[in-house]
Amino acid sequence: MCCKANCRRRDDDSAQKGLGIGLQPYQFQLLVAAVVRSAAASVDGGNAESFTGAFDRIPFDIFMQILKILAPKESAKLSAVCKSWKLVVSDNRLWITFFRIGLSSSVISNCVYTHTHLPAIVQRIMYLLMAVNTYLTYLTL
Amino acid sequence: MASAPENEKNASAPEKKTLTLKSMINNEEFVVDEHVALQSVTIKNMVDSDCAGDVIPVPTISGEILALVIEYCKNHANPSASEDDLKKADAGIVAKDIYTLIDLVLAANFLDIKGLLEVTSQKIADSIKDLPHQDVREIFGVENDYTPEEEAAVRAEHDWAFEGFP
Repeated sequence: MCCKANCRRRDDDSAQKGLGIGLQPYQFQLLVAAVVRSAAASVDGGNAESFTGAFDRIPFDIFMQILKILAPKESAKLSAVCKSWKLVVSDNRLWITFFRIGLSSSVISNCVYTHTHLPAIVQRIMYLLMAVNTYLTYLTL
Repeated sequence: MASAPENEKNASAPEKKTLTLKSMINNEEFVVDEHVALQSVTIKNMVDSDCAGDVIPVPTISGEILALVIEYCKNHANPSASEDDLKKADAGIVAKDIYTLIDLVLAANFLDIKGLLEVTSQKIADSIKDLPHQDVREIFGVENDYTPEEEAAVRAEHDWAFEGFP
């Protein structure tokens, strides 16, 4: 019962936000849906057919968690399984995590991935993120 | 450890609060002590916000999986259990085939039981580790959508990861 109440409250919130920028709630929802769709299309390169087998049922963040437990080498190897696995393995957040673990345990081999796989602009953004991340880690230590 | 001794049943006092969890897949019901069930953050939130009735319906989780989850919760609700015992019991719970493990990881995620989620994820990772990617495909029933050329290109891109694999 209270779950429903929560949902309604969230709906109201998003409706208000939508009105705040001069849009009707339904327009706002359409906008959000369009953004989500285009983001998804750009991520999977228009390949909606690809699927991850039994892993299809596993939410993305748990898949990610499992990859984080595996070493960078194991994860990179899994990119040869199929296109959608490659997509998951190529997620920058995964490699930022590996890089952070690598920094603390001085395993540098995972940098190879950053050098060989990603386009220059993404590399630059990634290094920036890593720098910020490392700085934050030092702050929290 | 896993099988509760008979005298424990008698020891549970009648005033102890219990909850009934009902699997919505095969309508199996499990009566559990409240402190055992409350290890699930999802159930705890339901109870705390008075959303929980006498029977708590658990959608998308089969009775078989729910029994494993409850076994885990019971083990970890026992304050006298030692680290070693818990580790052994956990290993016993996750010693299942990959499809059961995936169901279990989904259940742990839904019920928000951090420990079980970690143990199960670790087990799935262990079962993938050191396998050639062809075997991973077979185990998880993944269709290979690469052309031979594309696969060779991916392998060449990550050749450092394929050292010692066919």
